[in-house]
Amino acid sequence: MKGLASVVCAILLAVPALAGTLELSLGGGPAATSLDDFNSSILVFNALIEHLNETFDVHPDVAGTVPTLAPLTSGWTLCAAERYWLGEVFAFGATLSFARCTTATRGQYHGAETSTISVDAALQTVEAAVAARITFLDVGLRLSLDASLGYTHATFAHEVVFEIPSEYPSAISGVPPSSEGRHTGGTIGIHVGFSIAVPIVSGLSTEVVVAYRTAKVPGFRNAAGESLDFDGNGTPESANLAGLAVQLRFSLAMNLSLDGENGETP
Amino acid sequence: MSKARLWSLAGTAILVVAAVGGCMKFTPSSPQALFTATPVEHLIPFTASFDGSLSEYTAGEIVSYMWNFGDGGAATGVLTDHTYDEDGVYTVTLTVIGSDGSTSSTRLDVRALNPLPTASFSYSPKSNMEGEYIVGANEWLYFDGSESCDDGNVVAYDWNFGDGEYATGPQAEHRYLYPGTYNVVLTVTDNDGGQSSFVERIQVLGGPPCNADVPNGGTCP
Repeated sequence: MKGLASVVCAILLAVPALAGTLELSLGGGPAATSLDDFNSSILVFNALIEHLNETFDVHPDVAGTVPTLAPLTSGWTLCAAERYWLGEVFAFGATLSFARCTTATRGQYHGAETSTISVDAALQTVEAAVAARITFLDVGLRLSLDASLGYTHATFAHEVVFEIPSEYPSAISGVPPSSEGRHTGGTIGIHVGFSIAVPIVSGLSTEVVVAYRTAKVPGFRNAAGESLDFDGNGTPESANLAGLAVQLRFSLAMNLSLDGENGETP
Repeated sequence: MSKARLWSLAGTAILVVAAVGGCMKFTPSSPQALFTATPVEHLIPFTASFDGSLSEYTAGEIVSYMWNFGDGGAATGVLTDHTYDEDGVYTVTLTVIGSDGSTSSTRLDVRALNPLPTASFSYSPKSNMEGEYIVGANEWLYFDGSESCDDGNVVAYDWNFGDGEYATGPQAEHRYLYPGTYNVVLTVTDNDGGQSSFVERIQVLGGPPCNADVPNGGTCP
């Protein structure tokens, strides 16, 4: 990590000396992420909830229903980027992005006693990356290819309460134990994508960026060093962060060259 | 910026957002194993029923259900029964196999409980006075706990005569030096470590002992 940070700093400090155009971008948008381990757990939770709902829907002594969980696949990203243009075609720089996706449910069954099912889960990532862009078509709309390599720090917070009413006649496997925690992990990730930029006025443009990320956090641990076991099945979860994100960004370009042509969009 | 450019950008954004939205549906790569068990805690011997029909695989179908009952027993099929003859905690595992060969497992503990022994004893001699049994002070009594029973074997008999004296074994002799009411407790232990107790109150009548071997010398009239 120190090596990667050193490379990023060296690039960011050295490139202004090359005196090209500096472009700053800020934007955000929706993202889809795989997170297959967590979503497999959510499928089990939902299967249990649906079964309990069906059972108690016709039970004379128990009332109530619990909504199922939405999959943990969709969220939002925010991104800040800077890039230095070396000529009209090639640029490189750095990006800092934040992403978050959440899911939750809560409900109760009222029988001889009240049984609560409550699940809250949130995954957020912060990523710092070195990035490069190549423009391959500029006909007013500017089409470019993007690639970046960076470190992703992921935090998974969850709280699970899963009480089965005593009126349920059997025992069910896969019922998660009550738990809560905040676990973190990290990994190196790669983004590839393309962008379509449209100049608005001189020096200011808007762009749509579509990027695919591949990254997998191998494991999460809490402050005590304990592995994450979201569904309580004894197997620690990993986080597959692979997914697609689309962002709408606004970019401001500043010419750093000494020939006096400031504010020109590359 | 021309309207054409804006429309192009907006159209691209809508298409891409739609594409991202299409990616948000999660499709599992393996089946989800779940089952119910009835009962999961019972005195041995008992037969538990297992139902794996809660398992599902949205991306395919489940082609096999394999059960491991934790005591060396195994079975296949959605529904199955298994009899536990020995006490203990057994982890039952259901492994389901999807049509694409992917697998998933889930576990549940079944507690097979040891029936506790039944403690009981009789003693003699005793007299019936107005419907109540009495014994005499300083009189030797013979206690017999061999009528205690268990599904296995009773391996230990522990007597507490209520006057600070104790004994072990299926039979015991004891005498009460002082009149009074005493609770005699027999605790039996079976070969699986289960314990139970039986308590009987004994009324001792008569004067205090007048023997030289009695602690504190006794009291003579």
